[in-house]
Amino acid sequence: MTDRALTPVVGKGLEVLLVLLYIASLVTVLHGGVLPEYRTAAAAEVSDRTLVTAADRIEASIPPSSTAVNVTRTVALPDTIDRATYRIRAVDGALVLDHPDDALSGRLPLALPDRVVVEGTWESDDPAVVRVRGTADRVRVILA
Amino acid sequence: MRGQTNLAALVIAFVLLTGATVVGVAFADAALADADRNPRDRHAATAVADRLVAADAPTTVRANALAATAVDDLNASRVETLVPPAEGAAVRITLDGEPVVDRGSPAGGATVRRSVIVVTRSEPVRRSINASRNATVRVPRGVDRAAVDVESASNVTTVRANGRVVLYDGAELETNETVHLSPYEPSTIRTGTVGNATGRVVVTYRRPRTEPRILTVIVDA
Repeated sequence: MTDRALTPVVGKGLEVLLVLLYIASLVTVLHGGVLPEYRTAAAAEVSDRTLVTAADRIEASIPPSSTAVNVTRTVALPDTIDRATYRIRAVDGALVLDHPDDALSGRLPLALPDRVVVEGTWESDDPAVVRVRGTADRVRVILA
Repeated sequence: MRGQTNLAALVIAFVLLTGATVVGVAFADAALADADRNPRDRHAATAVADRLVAADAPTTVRANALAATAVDDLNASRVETLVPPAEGAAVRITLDGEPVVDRGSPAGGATVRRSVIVVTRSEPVRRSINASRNATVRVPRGVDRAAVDVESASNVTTVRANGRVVLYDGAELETNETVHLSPYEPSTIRTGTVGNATGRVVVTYRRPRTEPRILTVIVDA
């Protein structure tokens, strides 16, 4: 009966052990499976929307055919997607999003009149500006 | 036994916590599924609708006014050429429910509606002015251009529309020219002559008829 003093110690020790085990298993499950999956899904959605928003802003900055155009507009883009910087380029009348993760990169054709040419690159950590310069029959859109 | 009751309470707490976590994750899952709004479909549908009704599009006579002949000629490949974002997507374009372009069967996707007018031009209307009597021709409202043929008249130097000189040659007009008129009011075409003018000046125009319609574009990529 000299061990009776040990009972609360063993009991508390067991409880502490169980709590630690539980927390460890919860953290493993959440960070091992659920969280990265959500992060990727959310990042893919953000990447898609970033590309579409950029395309919308570029398309909206083209005025109807007129004698001369000189427009400068800023475009708000997220600084990072999934904690990585990215780049948006204009390639052959389409907008290409380059992300270190291939699954988050994308390409979106632009709907623009034939007289419009798009060129340039946006870095996500620099302010994005779209410049439209042109005459009646040729309009240049510069991403800077 | 006192340690055991504590353990039982701990186990119940774990069960409750696990339940709360599962419910939280389920809510997060549902929120994430709800947030998927197909921005690409929406972009493509908006682009198709905007490009079809743009002032400089080949399908319009002016902004938001579709030319009936161009609409009849519209097909999926033309839409793709005009609007690259629609490439390879299921597209349905209707005017007041009447199909204009139907490729694939868009199940879901994004829908964009635009209020437009469809302009149909009538058969050419020919009216002639007797140059010797200084007569006039009244062109109704809504006509923005007319062909004026002065070749069969002699000694006509000027053609005026509502007092504005649209054709002039100090010696003598010998031409068949399209002149622009204001569509916002009726135009009176009058000739100015030197000496004894003879013959007829023929004015030809097409009267536009406009119908309001709803243009619906559905794109499902």
